[in-house]
Amino acid sequence: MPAVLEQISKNTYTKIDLHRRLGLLQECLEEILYHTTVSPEASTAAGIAYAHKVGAPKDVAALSEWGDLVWGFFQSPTMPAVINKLKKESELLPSLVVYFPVQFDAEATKIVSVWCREKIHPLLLLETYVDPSVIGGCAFVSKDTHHDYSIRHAMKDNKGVVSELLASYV
Amino acid sequence: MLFICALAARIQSRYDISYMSTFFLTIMLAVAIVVMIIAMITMLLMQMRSSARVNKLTYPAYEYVMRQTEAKAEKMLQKAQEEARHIVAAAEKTGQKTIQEYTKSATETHGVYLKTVEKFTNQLSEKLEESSHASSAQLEKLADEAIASMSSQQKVVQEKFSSALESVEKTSLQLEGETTEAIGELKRHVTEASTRLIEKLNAEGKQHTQYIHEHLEKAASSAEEQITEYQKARTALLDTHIERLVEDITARVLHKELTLTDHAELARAALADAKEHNLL
Repeated sequence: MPAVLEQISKNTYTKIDLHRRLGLLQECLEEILYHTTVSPEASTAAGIAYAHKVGAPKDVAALSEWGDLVWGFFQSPTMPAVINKLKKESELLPSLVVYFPVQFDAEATKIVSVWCREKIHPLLLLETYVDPSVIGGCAFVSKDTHHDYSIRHAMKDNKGVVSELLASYV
Repeated sequence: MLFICALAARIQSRYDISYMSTFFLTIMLAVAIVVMIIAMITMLLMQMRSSARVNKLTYPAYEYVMRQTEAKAEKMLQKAQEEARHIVAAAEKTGQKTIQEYTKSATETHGVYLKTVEKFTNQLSEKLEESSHASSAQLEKLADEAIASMSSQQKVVQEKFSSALESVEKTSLQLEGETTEAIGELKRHVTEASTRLIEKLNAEGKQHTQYIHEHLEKAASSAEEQITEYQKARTALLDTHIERLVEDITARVLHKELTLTDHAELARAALADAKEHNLL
C-alpha cells in the first residue's frame, strides 16, 4: 500500500487531484474487473483505454504513468475494500494549505510541490487557493497559523518608505 | 213555500174542498200571493208619483209662507231692538243720576276728611314748635359751653404750637450744620471709593490683558499643534492612498507581466524564506 501511494504521489501534487484521480481509477477498475473479461496482463491497457473515454486528458496521462504497480495491485474480489482503504490512507497524508495570487497550472504547481517534498515531506500534498490580494509570492497555513510571505506583506512592512521618499521631495 | 203548502192543507181541511188537490191549491195560493205583491208594488209606485206631484204643486205656497214668517221675524227683531235701546237709555240716565249722587257724597266726605287732617296737622305743628323752643334753648346752652371749651383749648394749642415751632427752628439750625458736615464726609468717602475703584479696575484690566495675551498664545500654540496634526493625518491618508495605488499597480503589473513559472518561483522563494524562519 505505501508503495502504491508513493507511485500515485509521484505525479499527483494536490489533494483535489488525488481525490479525483482515485475516483477515476475506481471507475476504470470496476469496468475492467466486473463488466469485461480481460486477462490480467491486458488489464492496465484496458483500464487506460476506458479512462480515455471517461476522464480528463491530464488525469488520464497521470493514470497511464502509474503503470502496472498501481493497476495490477487490485484484484477482482478485494478491489472495493482495497481502494477504500487507499482513500482513507490518502486522507492521512501530510498537506499544506497555500494561497497563490493566480490559478497555477500543473507545471507551476509541480515547481512548488517538488520543493515542498524535498524540504518538508516526500509525500506532502498541497491544498491550493487563489487570493489575488497576495500579489506575488504566497501565503500559507502551518500549524493552524496563517503566514503571509507575499509581496503585499513585504510592502506593508516597508510602509513608511514611500512617505519618507515623498517627504524628502516636499 | 212550506208555509204556503201548510196554509193550503189547512184551508182544505177547514173548508172541505177535498175535491181540489193540495198541489192545485198550493199553486193557486202562490199565484194569489204573487198577484197581491205585484198589486202592492204598483200601489206604492203610484203613491210615490202622486206625492211628487203634490210637492211640485205646493212648493210656491211654502215659499210664500216662509217669506211672510221672515218679514214678521224682522219686524219683531226691530221692535225688540228699539225696546232695548229705550231700556239702555233709561239705564244710562239712572246711572248718571246715581254717579252724580255718589260724587256729591264723596266730595263731602273728602272735605270732612281734609278738615280733620288740617286740624291734626295744626295740633302737631303747635306741639312741635313748643318742643323745638325747649330744645333750642338747651342747644344754645350747649353751644356756649362748647365755644368756651374750644377757645380754652385753642389757647393751649396755640401755646404748644408756638413752643413746637421754636424747637423745630432750633433743630433745623442744628440739622443744617450737621448736613453740611455729612455732605463733606460723603464727598470724601466718594472720592476715596472712586480712586480705589479706579485702581482696582486698572489692576484688573492689566490682569485681563495679561490673561488675554496668555490665552491667545495658548490658542495660537494649540492651533499650530492642530495644524501639524492635521498635516500628519492628511499625509498619512495620502500615504495610504499612495500605498494602495502602488499595491494596485504592482498587483496589476505582476499579474500581467509575470508568467505562471515566475509566480511559482516567487512562491517557492517565499516558502524557502518561511523554512529559513522555521515556520514550515
